[in-house]
Amino acid sequence: MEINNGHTFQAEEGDRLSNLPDDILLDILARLNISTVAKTSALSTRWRHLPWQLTKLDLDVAEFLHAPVFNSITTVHMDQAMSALTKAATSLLSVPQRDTSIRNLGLKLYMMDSYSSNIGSVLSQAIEAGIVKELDLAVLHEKRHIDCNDDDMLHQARAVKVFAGVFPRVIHCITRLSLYNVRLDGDIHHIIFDCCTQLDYLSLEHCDDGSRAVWKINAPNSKLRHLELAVCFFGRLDLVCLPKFEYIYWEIWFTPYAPLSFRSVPSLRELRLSCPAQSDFQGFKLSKVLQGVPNLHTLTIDFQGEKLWMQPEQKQICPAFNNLKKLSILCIHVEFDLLWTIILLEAAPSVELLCIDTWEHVCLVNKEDEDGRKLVYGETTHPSWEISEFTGTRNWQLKELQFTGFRPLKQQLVFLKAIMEQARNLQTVILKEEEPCEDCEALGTPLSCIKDHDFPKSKDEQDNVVEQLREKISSDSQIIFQCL
Amino acid sequence: MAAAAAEATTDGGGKMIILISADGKRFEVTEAVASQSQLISNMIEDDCTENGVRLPNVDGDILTMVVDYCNMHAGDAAAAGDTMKASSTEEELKKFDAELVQALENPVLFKLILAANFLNIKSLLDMTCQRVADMMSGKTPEQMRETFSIENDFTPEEEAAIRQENAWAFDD
Repeated sequence: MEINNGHTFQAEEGDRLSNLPDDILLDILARLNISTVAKTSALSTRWRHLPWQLTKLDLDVAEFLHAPVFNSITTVHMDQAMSALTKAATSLLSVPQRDTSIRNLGLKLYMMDSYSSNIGSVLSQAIEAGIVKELDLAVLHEKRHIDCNDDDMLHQARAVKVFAGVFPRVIHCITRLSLYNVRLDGDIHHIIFDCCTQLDYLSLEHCDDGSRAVWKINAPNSKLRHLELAVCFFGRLDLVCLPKFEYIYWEIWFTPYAPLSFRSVPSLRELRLSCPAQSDFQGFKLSKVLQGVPNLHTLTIDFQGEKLWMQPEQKQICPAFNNLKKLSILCIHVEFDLLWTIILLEAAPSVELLCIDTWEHVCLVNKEDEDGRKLVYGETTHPSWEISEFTGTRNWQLKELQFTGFRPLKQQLVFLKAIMEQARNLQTVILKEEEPCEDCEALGTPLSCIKDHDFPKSKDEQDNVVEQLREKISSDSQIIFQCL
Repeated sequence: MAAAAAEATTDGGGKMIILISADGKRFEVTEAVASQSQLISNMIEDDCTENGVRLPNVDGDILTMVVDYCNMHAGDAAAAGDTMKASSTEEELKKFDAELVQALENPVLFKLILAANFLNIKSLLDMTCQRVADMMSGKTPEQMRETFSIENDFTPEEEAAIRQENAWAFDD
């Protein structure tokens, strides 16, 4: 690097930060939490009004919460935090102070009577004055889902309904909505899909319909594109009509049968399903779930180290996989055979990127509560898919295979060789080392089956793997090792 | 024209252009490297880079850093649609960025911000603004003033009034 000519630097020392143009200072402020942002208004006259010019603002009650850990939040903590949040909202959204509008306001709050209604009023006025355009609202709950009972969920639903009833203008502005521990009845459905006319993204965590029946979403006028569900209890979720709908992610369901069905969702492009199969899971046919999804582009299935929750299938899956470009099959128990995944690839010759990820956690398997775990998830049953129908006749588009948690175990090598042999267009095979798990490392004892089968780090070890993979097959693909 | 630039990168380097700093230092870089600057990318599209690109707002020492950064990240933009190429150097890039940003102090940091802003290199602007934000985070106004040599031009009464108005931000 060249040596700077010192005197110019010396002369220009001083407050270079305040001399930056407004848009850069606002860019910097947008990266700070809201208390720090407000503190900057006391720096100097240059900074006095900048916080009121931010076009994106995040007001999160968690910032004001002084509870030591999440599961010990008391009413006192919540009261203090909501009081501070209300003052922050009042100050930052108050109409006379502001001349710039907020393109996007993030608001995370507890529904606590006087505070949430104060915030609702301030917000309604700001919206009326054209100051707030889009609202990203998260209605938090102080309890973890395992500590939450029916009354909590009913209470939370009631609070949402009251707020929506009093502040319809606020509801109209919501583009992103996150709900926790809410009982989803007909009124809530009406609020989400009829009143939230701008809704683009919806996240439901630990929500249910109260009866584990079928929860239907039939919303021909909704603009909803993204839906994320976590730990939701439905007998089934039926997406009857959502014309703009593109993406759904569901992590952890409890029904023993198929958790989902699709009817009129012509724009759906991406589906992510992630769940450890519980002992009563019957398994379902993916082809049945995907009926009515004509344009699926990306599919991610994640088993969290347990037995498969899909029933074996062969060619029935083909129509659903017609346009699939990216397929990810994640958290497959490290001891499982992998050849069954090739059936999915056979059914989806258009796939260009395949991601595989293996799962091994001594920390969970060897824990004292292993019996408890068995009770919930049952025995670890190996996949039993019939793989006789391999024809190799369809022309695979597969270009890249990413394999995370690679170890030179027999089942992995056999699988990789099979793919390399059949995928004529395969250009790249990336073998990645697994991210370490702190709990597993603390135990310090590797699983017996994977002892001596660590990720190859040295050149010799890697060459050895490459040699084994290329033995007796012809493949032009490049093999890349990625250590952490 | 954008297509032509992309073509040049694929055959290994492609056309070179000259960047000229405020103090007259010249840097020869490929179009692919320079195109990370939206400003220069637009100039390439408009065919006005033949006689070199004069950057009257950027000193030679700062431009050296910018060119280093762009050289390092050139693969990035080209491989945006290609996860393999991007990921093979991901670690190196992260390390390079972390070292670069950690080493930045007043006043170089602010000169680099202005250069990234002028040249319109979003990733570099993001990284440098984040560095300033990290330096402000969790500090009291007094500490911020000290860190950045900000002069307090409020009267004590004015400052007290502002703190009073935003008391919620000050009680921790």
